[in-house]
Parts: sequence; C-alpha cells; structure tokens
Amino acid sequence: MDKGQMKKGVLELSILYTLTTDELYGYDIIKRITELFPEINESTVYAVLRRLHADGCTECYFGEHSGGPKRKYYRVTPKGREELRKMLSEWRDITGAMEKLGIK
Amino acid sequence: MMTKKQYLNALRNSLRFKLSSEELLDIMDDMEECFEAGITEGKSEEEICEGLGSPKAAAAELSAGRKNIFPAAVRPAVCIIIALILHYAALNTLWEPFIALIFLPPLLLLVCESPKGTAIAISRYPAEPLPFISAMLTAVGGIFLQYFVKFGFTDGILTSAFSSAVCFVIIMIVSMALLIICCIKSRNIVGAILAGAVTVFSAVTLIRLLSASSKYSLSILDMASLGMIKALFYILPISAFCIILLSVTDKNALNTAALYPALFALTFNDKLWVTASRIDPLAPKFDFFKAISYHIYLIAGLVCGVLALAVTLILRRKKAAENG
Repeated sequence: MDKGQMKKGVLELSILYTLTTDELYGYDIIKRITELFPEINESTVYAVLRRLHADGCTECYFGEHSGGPKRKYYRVTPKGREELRKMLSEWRDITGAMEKLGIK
Repeated sequence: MMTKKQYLNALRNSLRFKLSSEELLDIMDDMEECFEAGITEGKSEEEICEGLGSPKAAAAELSAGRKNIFPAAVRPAVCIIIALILHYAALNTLWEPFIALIFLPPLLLLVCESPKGTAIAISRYPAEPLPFISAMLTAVGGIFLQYFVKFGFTDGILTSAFSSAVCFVIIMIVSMALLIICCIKSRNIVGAILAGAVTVFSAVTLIRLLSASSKYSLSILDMASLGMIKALFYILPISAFCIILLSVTDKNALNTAALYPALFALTFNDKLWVTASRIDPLAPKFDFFKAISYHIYLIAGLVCGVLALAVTLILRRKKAAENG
C-alpha cells in the first residue's frame, strides 16, 4: 500500500473519530491530530479535513469562541458516521490480522 | 523563516491556477483563522508557518488530484481570441441580428468551470451562476444592439431602433450590477469599481435616451445618443484592456466574470462606431475608417488576448521561481 494513502486513511479515521466526541473548530482539530502524529504537517491535516468536508462527512457552523472572533466549527454528518463505521471495521480487520501475525 | 503574509501569498500563488476562487478564498479564511488561533496561544508567525509545512507542500496537498490541463488564467484569453475570430467571420459573411448567438459558446466557456477547477471546452457545470446569468444577458443584449445597429435611427423605424437601444442599455445595467456582486464576492474591489463605473455610465445613457424620446425628435434623439455612443466607443476598449489585466493579476483568483465586459466591448465596438458615424449628420464619410475598423478591432482584440496570455505566463513563471 502507498505509504501516503495509509497515512491519509489513518488521518481521516482520527479526524472523524475526534469529531464524534467533540465539536471542534479547525485549528483545534489540526492541533489535536498533530499532537498524536508530530511528524505530520498541520497543512496535511487541514487538507484531509477539507476533503472530508467536501465529501459530505462533516458540516460547519460558526460558533462563538470565548472572547475571540467567530470560528468555524466542524461536526460529523450522518454520512460521516457511516464512513467512520466502515473505517473502524476495516481498521479492526487490519489490526486483528496483524495481531495474528504477531505484530502488536 | 516566513511571516504570515509571505506564507499566505506563497500559498495563494501556488493554488490560484488550480482551484476556483470560492475555494481559494475559503482556504485563505481558514488559514487566517489558524494564524489567529496560533497567535492567541502565544506562538510566533514563524512557528505557525513551520507547523503548517512549506507553502508548496501545503498547496500540493490541497490541490491533490486537480489537473491543470487548461489553466483557468489562459482560458479567458483563448475565449477572446475565439470570439474575435468568430466575430470576424460573422462580419464578413452575414449581417443578421441573431449572429450574436454565435458568441454563446465562448461566453459559456468563459464563465463555466468544472468542479475540479479546470475547463474542458464547454464545461457542464456553471461554478458561479451570477457571471453565467450576466453573460447570457449580454448575449441577449447583443441581439438588441445588433437590431439597433442594423436599422439605426435613419431607416425610418425610429421606435424600433429607439426601443432596441433602451433595451440594450437596461440589459447592460442589469448585467453590470450582477458583475459588481461577483466582484464583491471574490473581493475584487477594482473590478467592482470598474463595473460600477460602467453601470453609472449606462444609467446616464438611459436617462439621456429617455429624455430625448420625450421630445421625440429624430435630430435631438440622434444627437443625445450620439455623444454617448461615441463615448462608449472610447471608454469600452480601455476598460476592456484594464479588465483583462485585472483578471489575470487578481490577488485572490482569476475572476473570470470580470472578463466578460472585455469580450463584450471587443465584440460590439466596431458596430457602435459605424452607427455613430451613420447617425452623426456632421460626421464626414468614414468610409476608409469603416473599412479598416473591423481589422483594427480584430488586431486590437488579438493583441489584448495575446498580452493577457503573455502576462499570465510571465506571472506564472515568476511565481514558480519565487516558490522554488
């Protein structure tokens, strides 16, 4: 598998999963993900976030930020939840297979 | 080490030929938000740039899969050239009002963008409905104008000629108003001012035409509209050239909508001039000028198109060099 493809898949999964627990604004999402994967550029995360949004997996709304200007918040759409469910099931298949191989 | 301004400029320049203006503005807004949030956290602009990664890499990520097979910036110049060739052919073969319809294909080409930000001949998808409507209106306006030009004021059908002129000016005002909205939407302020100037000008023409009609005297009507028609003759080519340059140098993106008055001007100017010389009782017989005016306009239009193309290519090369 293309290394970039795998990384993007993992990023998509992480972003969608993060957004199911919290509704966050763009920079917050980017920060959380880059904390997990410090070698990844913030713009890469942003590009993945934009693609998810373009595919209809997330939707935006403008929300107040304490003391600051209005910010664009993201939340997962039903389509996004469905995608996440598929991704998680694929992820479990992969990790299950890897464990059988002895990779943990 | 880059500052926020340098970073955003580099990113914008790497993306402007690949994404639609709306998409690009959206990205720029998000990037601004990132910088604001980072600065609130106490990071320096340089640190934020570093975190984001190089503008070139960011642009590659954001435009992944976008093929730039027919760069948006080259398209309008090509459209103008196509339109002029068609126009030239039309002038030399037929002289019918509905010949204006032949400008629909290049107009469609001009205002349509495919979802991927590339244009392949006549695209299926009008990315921006307002310039699309605006261009369609102009095509319709062109038919009225051609009718006016064909029959003029001196062929004994004053009312028809007059109403055609009024229709044309009204259509101009509406389509320019749409253009202003487009320009404001893409934050192309100079474009909005230019379109605004043409709107005001058209409104003055309308008032003058209407006041002349109240007297319903052929000579007053002729004289009232003549000045405006002549002025249009001079103003439009200049604004056309400005708009071509403006649209290829636009900071945020190529505003294809702004190109349409250029096409319009280049298309109709020779007809306006011929009409002006026909209805001006004091004008000498411009037979020589009339004969060469088509050719002058064709050449001027082609020069504009080629210049726009050259400016675009030079800019692209410069930006490519800047971005390493």
